[in-house]
Amino acid sequence: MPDLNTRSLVLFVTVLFFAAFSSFPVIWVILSSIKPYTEIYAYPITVFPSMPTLENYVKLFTETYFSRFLMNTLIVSFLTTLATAVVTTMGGYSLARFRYGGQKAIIVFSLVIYMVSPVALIVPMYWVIRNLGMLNTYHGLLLPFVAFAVPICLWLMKVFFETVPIELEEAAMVDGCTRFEAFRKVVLPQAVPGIIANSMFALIFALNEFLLPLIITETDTMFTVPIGIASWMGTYIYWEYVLPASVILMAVALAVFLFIQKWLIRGLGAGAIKG
Amino acid sequence: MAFFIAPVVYSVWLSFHELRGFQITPQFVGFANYIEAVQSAEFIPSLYRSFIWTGGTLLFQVLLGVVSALALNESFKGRSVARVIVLFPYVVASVVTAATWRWMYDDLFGVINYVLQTFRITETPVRWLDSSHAMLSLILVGVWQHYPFVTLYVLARLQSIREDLYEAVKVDGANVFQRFRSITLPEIREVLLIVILLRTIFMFGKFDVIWIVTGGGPGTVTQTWPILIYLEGFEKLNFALGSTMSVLVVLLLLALAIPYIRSLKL
Repeated sequence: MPDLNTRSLVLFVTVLFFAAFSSFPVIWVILSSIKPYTEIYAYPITVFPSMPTLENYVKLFTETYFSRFLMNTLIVSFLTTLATAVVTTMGGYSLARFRYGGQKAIIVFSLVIYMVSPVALIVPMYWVIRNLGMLNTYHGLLLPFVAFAVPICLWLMKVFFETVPIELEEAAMVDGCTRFEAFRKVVLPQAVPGIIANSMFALIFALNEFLLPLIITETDTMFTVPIGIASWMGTYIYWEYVLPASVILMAVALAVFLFIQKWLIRGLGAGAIKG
Repeated sequence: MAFFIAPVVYSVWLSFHELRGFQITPQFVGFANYIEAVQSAEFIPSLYRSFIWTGGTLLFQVLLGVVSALALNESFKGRSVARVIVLFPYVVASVVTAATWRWMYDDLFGVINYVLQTFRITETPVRWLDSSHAMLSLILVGVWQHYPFVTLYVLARLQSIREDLYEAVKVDGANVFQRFRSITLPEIREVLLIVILLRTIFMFGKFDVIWIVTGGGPGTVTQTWPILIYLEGFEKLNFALGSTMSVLVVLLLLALAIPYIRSLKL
């Protein structure tokens, strides 16, 4: 049996390996983004910037539509998150509490939607949005975004509400609350962590989504950040824009991620997985 | 009332997903589209590539995911930080992931070639994104981006395994490997099967990373099924054909997935 020191060493190396593997590309992009323009395209390349500079970031905002992309992304993401949170909180609660016919069907159906892969759905979706005249608009983005986010979030909220003990609501209703009042006063406050985690999940999804905006937006003033980044990567790639934009998008995602990571592991362990 | 609104709204959203391509084409051509799709030179190869992509990424995602979960399950100082670092790739936007790896894979400016050449492992720059390497390079990206998903689920499950199970077996003198096989593996089996199912589904239909790193190329070397559908639908504007192919693949996936799910006895 390996003794304690060998074990610790193996553990240390393993953890180090994974941490390095996961973080290396991220660190590399950050490093690259603060190199002056000439150094980005220097050959042979340098690892550390000789003169770290924020000029790429400045150029990003002054020379491109990035600020517009950022605004679009934030608006759409925020609205998506809001709408998804509302729909899935109520929907998840009702799925968790009530028995009605077709409940299983809804769950299975929502999983099937994911099975089907966004690409398969994108063609009909494009036609719907186009026929509704909503191409290249905020609502045109919002609708599909929410439609895609709801299934998973609904599932998450349902599982979450199943872990909230029903006795509290029953007690409240015995005291004379209507169902809705019980929901509002007793369940909601308890559900706040779950709602927040769920919302952050939807937010990350909306921030990072690429295929949907690719199809729906047509003019570059409506691009979201992911599409904007892709637009600089044609036959010629504008690394001096791509790199800082990537860092910014990652930073936003990181902020959101740090916020919810506490709940992720705990929440998944609690109710989501049978066994 | 509020409780009934939510599912109804949800159904309305869902109904947007139910349009089938051939309801939109003006002429009714019956099965002609289907025949054309199957006979087209690119459809079957693209499915084949999708299988390779899915299989390749899945294998390593699960391997890395399980190993990292095991490691992160142990208590050590800085564990929470390590967890955040390891899990981070999953929340990075696909575009950014793709751009980053594209940047690293570059022949001239890529850091991977730089390291290899500096340490004299190779003499000339390796063309990571050419026909012979592209798929492998892509698989690495897919693994990097998604292995934390496996890590997360497996880790969550590991955390809830009762300590006394291990204690009991340790008393009997089991070593590390035996403990893993007799306790850990059965406990995480369910999670693994679900994770494998989910990852297969998600990887099979992955579009954005492949599109940005290689665009399906060079040529059609990495043209998996989603890429093909996109090209058919949005660049050749052959929506009907694109939809047809989608339907075919959905049926294929369902045919594969349903027996698998049934066998899980959930």
